[in-house]
Formats: sequence, C-alpha cells, structure tokens
Amino acid sequence: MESSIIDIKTRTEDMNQTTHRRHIKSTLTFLFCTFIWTASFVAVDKAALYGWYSGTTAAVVAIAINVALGVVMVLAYMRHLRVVDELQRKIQMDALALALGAALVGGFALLLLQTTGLMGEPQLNNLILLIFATHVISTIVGNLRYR
Amino acid sequence: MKNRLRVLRAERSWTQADLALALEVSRQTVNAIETGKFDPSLPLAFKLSRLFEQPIESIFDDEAS
Repeated sequence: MESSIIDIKTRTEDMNQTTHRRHIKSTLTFLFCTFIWTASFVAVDKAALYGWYSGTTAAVVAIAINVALGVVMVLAYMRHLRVVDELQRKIQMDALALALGAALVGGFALLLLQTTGLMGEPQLNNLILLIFATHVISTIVGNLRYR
Repeated sequence: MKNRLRVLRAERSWTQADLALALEVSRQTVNAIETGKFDPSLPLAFKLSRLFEQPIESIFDDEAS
C-alpha cells in the first residue's frame, strides 16, 4: 500500500510541480497586471487633477493606455481562472456573480437616488468600491465555507 | 452528493494531501468533496474512478435517486 502511494506521488509529482508553478505564475501575473492598471489609473487621474495634459490628445492617449492595461488585466484574470482548480473556479464564479449583482443593483440604486433628487451626482467610485468589496468578501466567505 | 471517498482513501491509508496530489487539485477541494459540500466535475469523477479502480457509481451515490 505504501508503495502505491509512492507510485502515485512519483507519477504525479512532476505534473503537480508544473501545475503549481503555472498557478503561482498566473496569480503573480494577475496581481502584477492589477497593480500596473491601478497605478496607471492613479497616474491618469492625478495628471488631470494637476493639469499635466497639454491638450485633449494627451488625455485621450493616457486614457487609452489605461483601458488597454485594464484589458490586459481582465485577460490575465481569465487565464488565472483557467489555471486554478475547479473548487477555486467555483468560488471565483460565485464571487463574480455576487459582484455583478451588486454592480447592477447598486448602479440602479444610485440612478434612482439621483432621479428622485436624494443625491446629486452619482458617485461612481462608491459603486466600484462596492463591486470590489463584494468580490473580496465573497471570495473569503467561499474559501471559509469550503475549508 | 454522498460519496465513499473518505472510506476508499482510508482503505489505502492515503491522506487528503496524497489524494489531492494524485488528482492535481488542492487539499481543500478533496475535503470539500469528502464532506459533500462540493460535487466534482465529470473529468474529476473519472479521475477518481481510475485512481480507485472502481466505477463512478460505486464511489458516488446520488441522494435524489
């Protein structure tokens, strides 16, 4: 029986190391892309705040770069989802579903608040924060539930 | 879905980590399947079937039927 465990371990160890490495690589790539995108967002935002753009073209180019980095981040996340095991994928899918729900419900609630005059300009950053918080909390709860 | 994973694993004196290694999933996934909190995909069920050399229906028991 002991030898069969060793057989299994030997047979799968190399494959698992590769899978593990791919998992770590995809996680790090996704985190790196998220960091770069966030940094570019802050840079574009602060540049506008301090009036660093000489004209409209510079602002458009800066926004285009930020959007392109955002697309790269989304692609990295999709790749990450393909690499993780099926339980983690389910946890992430549940979290994404809740985050999307929060975005829809929260977004429309903001619109209603504006329409009814209870709130002035819709605070988009609050909505983004709600989506982010929902996703993070859902991921943590999912991991605790299947611990 | 109920399953005999814990029993089959115990018969072979494998730990959850050993099984996770063989299935190329996390130990958390093995634990979630054993406790019935998570139903594995068909490819993973076939993997279990091959590993324990038993048909899928003898490992998993559909409570609804």
